[in-house]
Amino acid sequence: MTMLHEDLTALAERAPTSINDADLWHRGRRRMIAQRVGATVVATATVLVLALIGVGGFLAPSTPEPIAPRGEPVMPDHFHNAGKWLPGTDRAGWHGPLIAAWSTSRGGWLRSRPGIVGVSAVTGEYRFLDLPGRAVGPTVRDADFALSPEGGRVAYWTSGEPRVYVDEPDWVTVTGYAVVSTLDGRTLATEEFETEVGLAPEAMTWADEQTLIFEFAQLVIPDDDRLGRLGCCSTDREVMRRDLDSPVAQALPAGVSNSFWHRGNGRGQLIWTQGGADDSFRIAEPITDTVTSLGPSSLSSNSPWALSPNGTRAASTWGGPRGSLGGIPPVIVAELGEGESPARRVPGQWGDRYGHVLGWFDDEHVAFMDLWGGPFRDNDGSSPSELQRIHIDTGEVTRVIRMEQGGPGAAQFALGLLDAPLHEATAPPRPWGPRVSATLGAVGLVGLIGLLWLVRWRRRGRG
Amino acid sequence: MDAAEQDFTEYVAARQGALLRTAYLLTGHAQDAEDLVQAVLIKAVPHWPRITGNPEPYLKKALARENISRWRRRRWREVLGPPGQEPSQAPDGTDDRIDLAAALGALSPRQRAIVVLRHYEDLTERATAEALGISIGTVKSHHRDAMAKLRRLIGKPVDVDRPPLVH
Repeated sequence: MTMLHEDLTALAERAPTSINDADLWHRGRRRMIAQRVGATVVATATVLVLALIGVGGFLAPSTPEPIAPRGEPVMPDHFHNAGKWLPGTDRAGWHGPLIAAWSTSRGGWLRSRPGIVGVSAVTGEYRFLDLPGRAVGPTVRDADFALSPEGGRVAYWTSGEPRVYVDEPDWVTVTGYAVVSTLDGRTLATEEFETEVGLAPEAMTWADEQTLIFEFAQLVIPDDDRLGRLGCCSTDREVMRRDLDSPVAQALPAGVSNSFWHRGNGRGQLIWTQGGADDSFRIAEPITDTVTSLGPSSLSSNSPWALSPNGTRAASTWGGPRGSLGGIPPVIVAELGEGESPARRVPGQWGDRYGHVLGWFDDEHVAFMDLWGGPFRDNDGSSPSELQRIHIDTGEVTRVIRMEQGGPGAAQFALGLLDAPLHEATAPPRPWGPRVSATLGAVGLVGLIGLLWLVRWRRRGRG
Repeated sequence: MDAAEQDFTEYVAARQGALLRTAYLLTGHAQDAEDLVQAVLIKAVPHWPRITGNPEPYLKKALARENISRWRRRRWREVLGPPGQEPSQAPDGTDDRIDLAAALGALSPRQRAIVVLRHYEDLTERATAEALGISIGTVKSHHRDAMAKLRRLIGKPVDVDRPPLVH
């Protein structure tokens, strides 16, 4: 019997006695350098890929295919909140016609700013609209723009130089308006008005795809001449029409004035009520410069009237005392006529709904924006806004579009496209902001510098 | 030639025989033993400033691990033939040693490494486990299986009465 240790020792004696040890050290050094170069290359490539993903995600515009065959307009069945870092039309290009647009916060390097998101009627894509010269400030609201009935144009107020400079923080002086094509971003109309300290925009709407109606007053300088407290406004308001084939806007007939609530039906007609003691309906056809006075509604409204496509009916929400019609506040429809325009309540359960009439799908169905989600409230109790199609005689309600909560409830729609075929909408991308990309890049750079420092430190340690 | 290179060269010159003997027991093949030692020494160069002074434990551990890695990379070689197309008879004609070489070749690389580290390098179970990066329990079970296999292959008891040195 032999001991294993001794046997192994004896067996090991059969091992070679020497190796080719020439150049082992330098081969080891070369291998080490190759490994470190490889590691550095991999690390750098990783950093670059991360940076490219980050920057690419922010910069690269998506190019979705048209949703409908032949690129015909469609209506998404769901509107999502828009991410702050969606691409803008300056970089990604225009994507009209638009089915809807709304104001929302747009990301910036230092702070967010008001922006307008437009949803393509062809691709369903969301993009911020880059509107040259757009004014957003104390005297003009984010939502002061107008999407045309077919979604091909956007009108908005522009800023410029008044005769008197206003020394106030964040002051933006409104001096005119502009119209751009949502198909290619071309400026179709722009005009500046004489103003001492700026305009006070009142309303902006489209009579049809070609005719913009807008109303403004002049801001006034108070008697004490302190520009820091501008008075609003001149008593005379300008109600003007801009035919896109004309070089400048023209004043509408004298009867079309002093109303905040002009609304177009997208078919060349404009409706408003005079307000005050004279609550008669006025129907204007700007193209023919005619204004028709009709009898007042037998029921009062609390929001602007929407004129039906054939111009014979108007719909709004009831403005009478709460409860006397069984809920808050139901849709009412007035049959326009001389003397008095008889109005009636649209049947239905109105107690848990709240909203306003957006327009008409056709002469029998109104488009109602229910801000409480109405009968379709979610199981979890949340109540996202939704656009409903309501039959004016039966009160039958059909959910058309669901609006994500806290988002596009105040969207403007292309009224002429409301009856476009529905399609199942997908959520828009939520790209990273440049700060995330920059952070990724910075982390990668710091990592790379750290790696290089480590390599150098280890070399120095060996030296 | 800098100090580290000088130290490395001197160490290789002095200790390559010992490294080759361990490598030979691990591989069971002279050429593989040379390749293994060369590979381990080359890989040790980047770490040399840290291990200089007492590189032996690092290198023995590296030999065992590198051998297992190499075996995994070229397992076919182990399957096609026993390691050792060595002479079937030892130069001095000792049958036990021939039997032991063949029996070691029949062990898995990990079992063989455990036998070599425990009974040739005289490492404890704990040190063997640390050298191979496995648990003590795994060392014990592999060791038990390896010894049983050796006894069966050699056909007579393998004396392991002498306890290994405790480090």
